[in-house]
Amino acid sequence: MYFRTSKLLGATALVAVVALAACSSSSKGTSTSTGNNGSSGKTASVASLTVGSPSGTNGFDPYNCGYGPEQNILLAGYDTLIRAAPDGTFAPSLALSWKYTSPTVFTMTLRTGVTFADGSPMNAAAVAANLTRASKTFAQITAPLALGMQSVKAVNPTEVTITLRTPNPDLTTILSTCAGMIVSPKLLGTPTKMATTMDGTGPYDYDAGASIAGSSYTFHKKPTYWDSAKFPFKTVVFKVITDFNTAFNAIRSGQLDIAVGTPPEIPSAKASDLASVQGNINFYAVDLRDREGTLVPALKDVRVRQALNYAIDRDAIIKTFFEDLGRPTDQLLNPHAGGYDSGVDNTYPYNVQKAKDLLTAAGYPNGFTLPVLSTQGFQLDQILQAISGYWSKIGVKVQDEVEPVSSWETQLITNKYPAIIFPFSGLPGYTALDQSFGSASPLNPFHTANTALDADLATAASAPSQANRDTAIKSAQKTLLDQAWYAGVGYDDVIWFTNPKKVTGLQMQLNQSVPHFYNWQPGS
Amino acid sequence: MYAGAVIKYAAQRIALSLVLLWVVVTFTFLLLQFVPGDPAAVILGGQGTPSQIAQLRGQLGLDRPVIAQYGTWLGNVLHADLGRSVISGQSVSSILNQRAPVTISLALAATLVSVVVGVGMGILAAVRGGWVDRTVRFAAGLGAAVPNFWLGALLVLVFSVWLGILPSVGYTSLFRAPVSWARYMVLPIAAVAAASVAGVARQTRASMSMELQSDYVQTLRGAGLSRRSIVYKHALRNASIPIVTVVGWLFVGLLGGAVLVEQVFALPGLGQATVQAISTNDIPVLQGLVIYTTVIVLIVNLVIDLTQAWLNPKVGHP
Repeated sequence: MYFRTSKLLGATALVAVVALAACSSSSKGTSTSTGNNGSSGKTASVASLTVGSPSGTNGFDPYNCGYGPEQNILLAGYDTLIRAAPDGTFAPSLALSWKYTSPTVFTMTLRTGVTFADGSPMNAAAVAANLTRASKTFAQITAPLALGMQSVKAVNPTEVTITLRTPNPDLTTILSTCAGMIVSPKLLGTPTKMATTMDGTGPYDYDAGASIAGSSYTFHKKPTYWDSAKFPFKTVVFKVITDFNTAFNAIRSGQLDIAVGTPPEIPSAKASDLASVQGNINFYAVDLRDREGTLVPALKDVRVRQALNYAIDRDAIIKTFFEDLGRPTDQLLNPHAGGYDSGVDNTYPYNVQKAKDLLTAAGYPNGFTLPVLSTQGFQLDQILQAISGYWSKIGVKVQDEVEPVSSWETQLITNKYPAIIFPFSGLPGYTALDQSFGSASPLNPFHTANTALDADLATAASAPSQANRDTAIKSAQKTLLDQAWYAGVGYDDVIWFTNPKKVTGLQMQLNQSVPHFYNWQPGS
Repeated sequence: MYAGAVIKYAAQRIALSLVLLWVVVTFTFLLLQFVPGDPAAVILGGQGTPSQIAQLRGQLGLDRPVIAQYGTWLGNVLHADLGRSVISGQSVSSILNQRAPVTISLALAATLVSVVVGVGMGILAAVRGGWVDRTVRFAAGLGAAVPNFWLGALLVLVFSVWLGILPSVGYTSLFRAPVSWARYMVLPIAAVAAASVAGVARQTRASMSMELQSDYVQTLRGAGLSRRSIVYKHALRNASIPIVTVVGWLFVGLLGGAVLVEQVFALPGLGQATVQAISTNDIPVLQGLVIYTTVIVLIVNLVIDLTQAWLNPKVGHP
């Protein structure tokens, strides 16, 4: 009898699993609405798209967004003024055209006939209200506007003029990020609702009932949109999956159509007929901020900073973390950026003896202790551990100060730590160098200044041509390397996998770690 | 007489639970007060302007005397108003109400599976002995030794990636689409329940073995009762008192264990909310999570205590 009972239990369990599997199989063949269950076929591919996002949004206020995957979630509801193309050029969005009328005056002509979700018109007054808010909001994404914008004016219903305190040649890039997203003035008037409500001119309506903020975001396409062809999917679901392995398994099993990946997963992805796009996006470096030696006197000596650079085996570290897809270099600018100079890619070749000699000459033959702020996000603590191993060979002991990502971000603009490990990314050459190393920048909290560097950055900001600007940026980069203001390791490799049957057109952006939403098209 | 004693016992347990809840609510209030520096500045992550910090201080009530803040806090908690997330702007109650069904349904289903499978395995091992007993003990040891997140990843690989018959991520409401819910939850439940099945099986086997060797069972056998009646009607009832205790603690443990499993299966539950709140300094959500979880645990403990009193009248009469 007991045997019969156990057999019954076993049979029941088997029937349950088979029944669930049957449900799974049947939905594979028929479902076209959600894209959550491995459905395939042309109808399904146009109807829906499910995207694995490694992070969610901090509410829906675009100014709380960074340069990460959350941009695409916000792009569903909000248009930017300008769109960035993967090759580094720019295309019209809410702004039809734009130009610098002087190095400090930027004028935009706006698209007409576009309305917000609440029905109110998008016009110069609305754009001016948004940019005025940006000038008063010191967030990561709005920092260049908050620091550099003097005023914004609605000249007429279709023309807006931005006046800068100092020239900034990268305004087109800045206005193509979340900083350039335009929110309805009605919603701007009720700031408490901005975190939970979307009211933009974007292609999709947010379905709060089908979403769980921080976990999944469901969007349905608006019946009318001024650029409908760019957004062919009727329903788009962003699922927040922070674990890379979970995301990879989900895209392999057909539950996601797009997911971020890692180099070791590439062979399995190919075997599963997944496509991939990749780019060298983030430059990892230890920013040696205390260049006046306030906290760690040794850092004041340029020979010490140079020794720290010579002591790092970049090839080995980058290969360990990113296999052959990363790019070891000590140059912060990537090859696509204006001012890139291949001649300085290996300014500090790995040379332990030379590093020891420099330390000895500087009066630190036995090394010193260097506190470095790091975080577990972006693999920063692991990369710092690798760097620490090399620095220990010349007697420099790293005191690893690991903070959660949020605290790490808090500390970035304080002068509490003599050095931090940082992924430089998201901005073009001039803004990247000026924002990180300009003497007035909050990210240079000790406000160390170098006359040649500041002169080059000023020249780049007001250069009459791109060629002149590139020359000045190239010179600024060389000064940074000669003075060893940072100890660079190289570029990572950001990979996104896609199911080519569902979606194509993904391309990495020049300075962004995510392929932008408006380039995605249905698969075959 | 017996009913009166049970009611008195239940009232005592409820009163004790309320006192515990008050203590936790008070400590949760103090959590915000103990944040070094200005909590509003810490929450805003160093990016807040003075006006934003002042606005958040006002939103959190930090610009008022501590006693006044405490009074408001207690009043709000009594009205289930736990404030608003400083990250998403949503009310904390709505965040927790959205996410709690995921975690509670996972923990309840895993507990149910643990009881059904664990008790079944335990009884089988105790009654049959021999190779069945050894097999159950081996399986229980294996289940207890394997970490749930590792088992979860393995199950995903086999059933989602290789066989393609069950989804690896996602969730639908149990009440809106029960079959779909089962499809999404079967792997997480299996991953979470493996260790607890082992625990229940071991406890059941030990209790049943002890009961089956006791004098009253010999007497019942001598009286000619069927083996089925002895096992299920008499021995199991007496053996179930420690099992109920274990099951109650299992549920509480499964709530905690869900944190890792929710990450593996990307489930939008309380565990995922906890990880997100910690990583973003979202203190109001963390406070809400502590209170919410405490309430769940106190309710479960109350149910266990009352169940034990029902199973064994001596429990209410020390």
